[in-house]
Amino acid sequence: MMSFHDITKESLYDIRYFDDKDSAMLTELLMNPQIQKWFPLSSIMDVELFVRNWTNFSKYRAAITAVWDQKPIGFGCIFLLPYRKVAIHTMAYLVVDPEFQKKGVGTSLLRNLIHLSREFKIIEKVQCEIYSGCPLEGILKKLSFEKALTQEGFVRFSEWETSARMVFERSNQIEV
Amino acid sequence: MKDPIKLRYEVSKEDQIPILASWLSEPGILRWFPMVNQLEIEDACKVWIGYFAKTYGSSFTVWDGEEIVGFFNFYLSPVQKLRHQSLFSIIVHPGKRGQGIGTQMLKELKNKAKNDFGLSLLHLEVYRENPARKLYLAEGFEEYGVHVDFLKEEDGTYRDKILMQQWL
Repeated sequence: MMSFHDITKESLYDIRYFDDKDSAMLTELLMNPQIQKWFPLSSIMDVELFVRNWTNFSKYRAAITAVWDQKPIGFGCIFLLPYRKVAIHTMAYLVVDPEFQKKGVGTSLLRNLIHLSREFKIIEKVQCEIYSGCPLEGILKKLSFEKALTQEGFVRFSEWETSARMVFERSNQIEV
Repeated sequence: MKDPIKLRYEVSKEDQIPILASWLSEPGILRWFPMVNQLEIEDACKVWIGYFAKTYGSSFTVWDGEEIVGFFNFYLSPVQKLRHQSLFSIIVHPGKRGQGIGTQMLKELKNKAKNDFGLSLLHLEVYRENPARKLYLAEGFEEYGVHVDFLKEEDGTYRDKILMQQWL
């Protein structure tokens, strides 16, 4: 089992806004089969579509990049909803380079995404959708997310293998 | 027992967007939808008919003779891992409700989902108190979750979103 070593207090670690130049690195990361287990992505077309959405939200300063020694090692984004009645919610996405997992980067990204969502005054709740067994679940619970719902069979990995999606959410009234 | 109305189903066309928009603009209808004004209605209709009819042929206009009596739409995903399931929307002409049209449309919607689009899971979102929920239950949809306080009305009140699904 990988041991935990928090690198986020070290001087080489930083979080900044996502830059279009990060798209290539994000694409590469999302093409990693280890990462794709936790996303509905399985081809370069799927990944490019997802990265395009991500890049679009970055225009609203809703996407961030974690860097180690200036090299991107993780990405986070909040997807903003277009209709006013439901714009009180945002969906958070994050991904961390497998080499930098279990080092506090996921927690740091999610904490920053929560702060970021508060910049949009209309947002009252942050949601995060994960699939059964996703290691992010521990981080979500640590940051006071609660499971809102589970939908069985939502994602299909093969003809015989499906997985449930679980939607977690937290109120922005709770301190981070 | 009265014979069911013979309905005809055709892939929606862009020139039907104003009809869908006018139904959604009827007083009180937006209680059941996330849109709040004309701009949001137009955007939703462009996605419903404009995008999904053109991209996947998955948006349908329902005819009773020469009259449009309903629309439904599968929000198909371009992503392979999600192609076995779909969220859908359905609406019946405001003046034609309570005549069994919604039930007939739902049956055909399930038929098309399974046989034309190869879907094995259909799901929908309905706001609490929407009378259509009874119709979905009667047609075999089951609730799998409630998203509490999902929608915030302009007067500040919150409403829950009920999530339902059916395996085909």
